[in-house]
Amino acid sequence: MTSILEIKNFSKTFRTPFRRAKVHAVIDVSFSIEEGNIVGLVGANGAGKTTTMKAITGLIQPTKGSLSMFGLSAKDPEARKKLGYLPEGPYFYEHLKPKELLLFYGKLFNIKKEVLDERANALITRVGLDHARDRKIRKFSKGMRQRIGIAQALINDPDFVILDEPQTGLDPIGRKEVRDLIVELADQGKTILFSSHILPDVEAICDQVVVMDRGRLIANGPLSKLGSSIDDDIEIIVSGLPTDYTHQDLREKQIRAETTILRFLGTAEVNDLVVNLIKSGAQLQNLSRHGYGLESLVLKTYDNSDDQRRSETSEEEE
Amino acid sequence: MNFLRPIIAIAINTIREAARNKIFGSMVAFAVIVPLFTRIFGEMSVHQEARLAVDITIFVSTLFGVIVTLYSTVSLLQLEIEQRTIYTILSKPIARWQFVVGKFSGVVGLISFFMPFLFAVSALVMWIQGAQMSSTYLVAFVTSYFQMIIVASVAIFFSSIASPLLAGFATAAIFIAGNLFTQIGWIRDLLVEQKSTFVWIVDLMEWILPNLEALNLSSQATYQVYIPVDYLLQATIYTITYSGICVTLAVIATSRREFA
Repeated sequence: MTSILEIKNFSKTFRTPFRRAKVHAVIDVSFSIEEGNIVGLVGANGAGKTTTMKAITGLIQPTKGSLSMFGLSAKDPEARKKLGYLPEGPYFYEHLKPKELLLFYGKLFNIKKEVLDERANALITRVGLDHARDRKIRKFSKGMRQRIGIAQALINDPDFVILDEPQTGLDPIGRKEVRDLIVELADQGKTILFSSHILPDVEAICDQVVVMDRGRLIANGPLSKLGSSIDDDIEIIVSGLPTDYTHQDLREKQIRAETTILRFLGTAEVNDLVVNLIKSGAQLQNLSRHGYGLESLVLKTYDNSDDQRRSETSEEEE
Repeated sequence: MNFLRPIIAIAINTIREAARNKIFGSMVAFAVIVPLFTRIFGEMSVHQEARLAVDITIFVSTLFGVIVTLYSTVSLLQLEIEQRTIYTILSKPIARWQFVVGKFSGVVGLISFFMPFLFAVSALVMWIQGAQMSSTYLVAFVTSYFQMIIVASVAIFFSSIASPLLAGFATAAIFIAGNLFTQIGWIRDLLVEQKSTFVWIVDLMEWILPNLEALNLSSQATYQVYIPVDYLLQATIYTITYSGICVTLAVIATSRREFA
């Protein structure tokens, strides 16, 4: 497989106005994206996702490191010929109608008039804006703006599509449509990088997940690989458990009306746990290995990175 | 000539944006209507109606033309940045210079569109006042058009480095100062006479500021002074060179700018 995107040791530092204090938006991030993959970029607000995407599209320059697309530097306008980009919370020319907007963007790619006309019409239909053909974008709802934004990102029939939070502002049906569209684009052989806070969608369709937190890359790879790199929890549901029950591997205890849900570290010996619980007078109701979804993975990696940072800070203080 | 198509697309979009902008439309309408009221000044000046009509129509047309140019240049470029539409343009395979040149070309297109209207209304006022239309009057409008192009280029430069308000004020200040070259010359003579060490500042101003006064032919039009072709040629070269430098500086500033 060929790498569409290569990011090597990318760092971006901004300076605040007036005080000129340094803000490290992205710190030493490296990852690559293979052709035909759907890649989810996840992380909390301020994680550095949008900054990374802007650096890929040439809107900002890296402070350190390099970014290359199709073997060319991201700074080179030629590299953007096969790129489609939907920025976060996009604004478009309010005075234009959908087709006028798509024709305008198409001309920036030097697309032939006949091809452009046909493609613009097809895209308007594809993103479900046929009913709004004669309406100016000024009168569009947030969801409609997002749809026309997706259409403009596809006007050049790109090989690589970057979508910054494409599901924002959409209702559940719209969200599903975007998800289906991403899969459809990948089926056509396109490579997709998208950021989203809707983790179940990322989990459902992504071949690769890149997790960022406060400017750092904290996990990268196929979801199955990321999940197995962290041990699953052992979840045991019991009744009749003494309230003062404790165990060295116990991570979490939830007391319900008649039962108690216990979560033990995945490394604990299951047989020992069961014997220990029975000895303490509890009756076993259920036992399962609790696998990690992307949400728990992300939360867990955040916790880990927090712990790591705290230990680094304390080491520095010492 | 593939590099031209995106520039033309950006220029046409700029014109279309302004044409569909109500504020811009009102300003152009105002700029076109105002010369009609210069008739009042004509009536106040006994036996000088025709002469005054020439002078005032050129002055008012230039002033309001410059206001419209200033507004359209500063607001259209800044809107791209504030509304983040610039993200969707610069992420396409176009160089930043193409964006700046496209925007500037659009503004020049706008000026070229409304200048004939300004001229037509001024000519109407002249006809009402019984003033004689000379070739110098037409040339005065051409040089007024040159002034607006220079103002647009200065505004696009300031817009690329400053906020809209600051860019607007700075450009307006340069327009005023550029029309006061005679007075700047007097100040220089005075400083030389006083052997002041600040003469270099005035010299620098004369180098940096656009000599818009040299492009103001209202008095020549009033007294129907013949304007040689050489002058028009020099004025054209001056306008192209000065606005070219300003647009180049705007390109440099935009190329270095980060759209975070």
